Amino acid sequence: MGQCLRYQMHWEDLEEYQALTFLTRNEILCIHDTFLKLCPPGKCYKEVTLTMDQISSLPALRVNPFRDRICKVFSHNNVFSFEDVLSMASVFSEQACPSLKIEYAFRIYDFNENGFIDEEDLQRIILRLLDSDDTSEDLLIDLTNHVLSESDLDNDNMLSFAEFEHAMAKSPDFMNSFRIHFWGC
Amino acid sequence: MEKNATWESDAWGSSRGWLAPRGARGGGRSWEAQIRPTFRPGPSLSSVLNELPSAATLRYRGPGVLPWGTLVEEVEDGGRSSRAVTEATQKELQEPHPSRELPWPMQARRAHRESHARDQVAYGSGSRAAQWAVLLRRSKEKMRANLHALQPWAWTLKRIGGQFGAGTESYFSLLRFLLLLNALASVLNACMVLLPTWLEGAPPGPPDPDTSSPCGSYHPYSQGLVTFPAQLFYLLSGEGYLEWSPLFYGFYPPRPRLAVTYLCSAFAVGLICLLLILHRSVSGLKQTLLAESGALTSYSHRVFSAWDFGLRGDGHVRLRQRLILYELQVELEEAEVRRRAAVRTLGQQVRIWSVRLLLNLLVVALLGAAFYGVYWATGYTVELQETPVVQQTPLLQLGVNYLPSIFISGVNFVLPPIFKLIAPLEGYTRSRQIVFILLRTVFLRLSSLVVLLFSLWNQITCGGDSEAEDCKTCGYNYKELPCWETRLGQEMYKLLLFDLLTGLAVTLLIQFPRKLFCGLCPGALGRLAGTQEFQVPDEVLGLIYAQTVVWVGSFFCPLLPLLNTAKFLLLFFLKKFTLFSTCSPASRTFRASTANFFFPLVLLLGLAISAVPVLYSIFLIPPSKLCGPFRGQSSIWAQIPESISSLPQTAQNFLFFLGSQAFAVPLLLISSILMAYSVALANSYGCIISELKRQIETEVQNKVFLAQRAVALSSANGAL
Repeated sequence: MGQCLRYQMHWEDLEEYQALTFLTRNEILCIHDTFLKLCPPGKCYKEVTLTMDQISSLPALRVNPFRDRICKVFSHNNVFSFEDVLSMASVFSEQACPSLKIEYAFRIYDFNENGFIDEEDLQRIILRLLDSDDTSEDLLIDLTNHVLSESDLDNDNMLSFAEFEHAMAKSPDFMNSFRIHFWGC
Repeated sequence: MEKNATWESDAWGSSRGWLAPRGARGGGRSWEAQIRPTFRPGPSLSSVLNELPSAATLRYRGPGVLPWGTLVEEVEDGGRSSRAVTEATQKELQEPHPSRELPWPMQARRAHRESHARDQVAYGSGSRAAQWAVLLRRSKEKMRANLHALQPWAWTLKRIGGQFGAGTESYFSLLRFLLLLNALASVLNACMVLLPTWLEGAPPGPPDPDTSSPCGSYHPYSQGLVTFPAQLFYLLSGEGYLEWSPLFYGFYPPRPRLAVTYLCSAFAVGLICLLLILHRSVSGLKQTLLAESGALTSYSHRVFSAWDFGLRGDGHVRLRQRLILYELQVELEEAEVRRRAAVRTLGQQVRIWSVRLLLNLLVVALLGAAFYGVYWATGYTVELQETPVVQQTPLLQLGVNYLPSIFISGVNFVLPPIFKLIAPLEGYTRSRQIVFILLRTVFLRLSSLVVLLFSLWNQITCGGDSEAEDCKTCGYNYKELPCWETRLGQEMYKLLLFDLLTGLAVTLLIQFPRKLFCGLCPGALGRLAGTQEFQVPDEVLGLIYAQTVVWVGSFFCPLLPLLNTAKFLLLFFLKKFTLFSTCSPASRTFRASTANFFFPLVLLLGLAISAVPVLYSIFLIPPSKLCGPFRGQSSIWAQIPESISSLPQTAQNFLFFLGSQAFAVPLLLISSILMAYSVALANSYGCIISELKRQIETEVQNKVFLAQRAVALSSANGAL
């Protein structure tokens, strides 16, 4: 267990984090606890970085099929600092605004990171959602075509951010499903 | 990752899509080949497009960080694209975004916040109005956050939502909301009914058994020693010492001020419940009734918001994956069914419609039989109570007393599974089947209550015939029901208790043993018996039914909301315990959006249905002459005009004006005009949206054309 104590987070830092993220006090302190459990002893939490594997193995993310994408999007230089973890939790918190969630959802779903969600990305999303054994080629192509015919407004076979935003703003369940609670304490 | 691909193939890879609309791939590629440059001048199509402001703001990840989605050649380009990117974000910074809404790393947000604060200080007082606006917004946010924190069991609901899905969470959220409603109602009743009763001196005891009046005599119970079984019987059926207690209407003394507050408490509770339910359903409606009519984006929603990111636990994940596959297959199958339905021949149509007609007749017949059974049971109860054998055994007496409740519960238990069996035969799509099943079950539950009330009304008013022998003298059947309001309250009390007992019995005697049995019995049989799911629609309809019973009964039994609060509290913990110990997540999700829209609507329907018997009793049935605060009046409502006549003249005139037609008709006209205007506005917004969509398509074609010209021009320039 880390030697860093809970009380090492100063009150001003807590206030600042509350202003800069959508998290409540309790949530920030909870994440701080979890972060300290994973960091090596003797160092201050502000200097420690965690690897993507450590974050992927958090209970909140362990079974998520998109955890590698989440880690890729929120990390800097493939490591997570404490503030990166806070930013991640802020985007996934309940109080986050829809525009922020839609923005990050787009980045997460864009597997090849070309700025658009194209057919290849869609197929990879669907494969991740389902068990790979059960999905037939026809189902994939069918679904991809249906999604594109619904949301691709300019007929370029890809979803740009504006089109994705348009589709998700109308989805009543998007806000509910794009939530993660990082309480592990 | 594209970083390994060559520059050229990458550029053409992303531009292939731009040049070729779906289905015209072959032609597009040959056209590409015609203008493909033979050397490497200037920018490519993709780099031009990536420099557009709309792409830039998305990819900007904050100062000092490589823009997301950077292709290798752009890094070498010397940051031409990043310059465009920073220019675009400067524009974004002009608008006062709160720092935490910016999709940047923490460091960049901190810098933004500090610069923003410095700007605020630099501009000094700025404008008073702007400062006040900011202060107001911040205080509103704080108040909302505090209110949110006040809600109990927030953690529990989040846990349930994470493990069992949003549908189950919506059930517990509805239960918490109904708990709030009942708590408010019981507080109101306590203030407006209980307090005034004792303020003017202790209420008198039960009437003397020796006194008699033209309307019969009323002796609720005989004093003296009561055996324990009899005590239990009295507790469960609301008779005996409970009959003359603050629990029921008959106890309250005929004091004028108490009468006014008693009546006003009923209306106040109804109004508050209506406002709170409307407030809750408005947000659900907003999500569901979106402006764009006709355009479905169900596939996109199912793909992008299918995965509940809050899920944990491996078992749940596998279940969830199977479920998503199932839903997507269902969606595709529905599209297939719709397609087939569109091409049906006349013969097939006739056949399917005759099948549907038959099945609907079957459903109507079943419902009719159920309702007749309830009606018969209520009438038979009175007969059975007269027989000597029943009067001697208290257990039989209890059973006979509860006969209507038993019948209603039995009917509610047996018929919904039959509806579930019938629905697939009708040839509708799966989602429509679910809607039909729900509608039929709702109709069943609420109508069985209505039938019970109807048969009680039959007894009280001799079938509405005021000239009948029994009802002529006093306006109600004084021989059988000397105090009919208490009797009505007792029926609702018994329904409430029976509902609670059946809930407990089902949990303890069916669900837990089933779970134990599955644990002991290995293999497929155990798994089959053991996987129980939390059936959200059935449970929610049960809640709404229980709440409707309480709304009907709370006028005749003022402490009923308090009892219901205790019952719902018990139910919350019981259901939570059952959920976590015996249930696995539902294999068919009930989407939260449907729950948010459909269930408050049914709750409103329950409120409307419960208002009918209460208002009817207030306005049309003469109150009992021997009990209650309205004895001696011609109707319960008659108390109000009497009290109004003691107010000053202007108040009287104002109140009479409110009740006259001169007020009601213009109000109705204005409401209709407002409604027509809103509908027209919504339609026009729909048209605007379709028009804007068409404009987007043309603009994109313009953009692509211009970008291609730019590439062609710069490559031509480079060649020179």
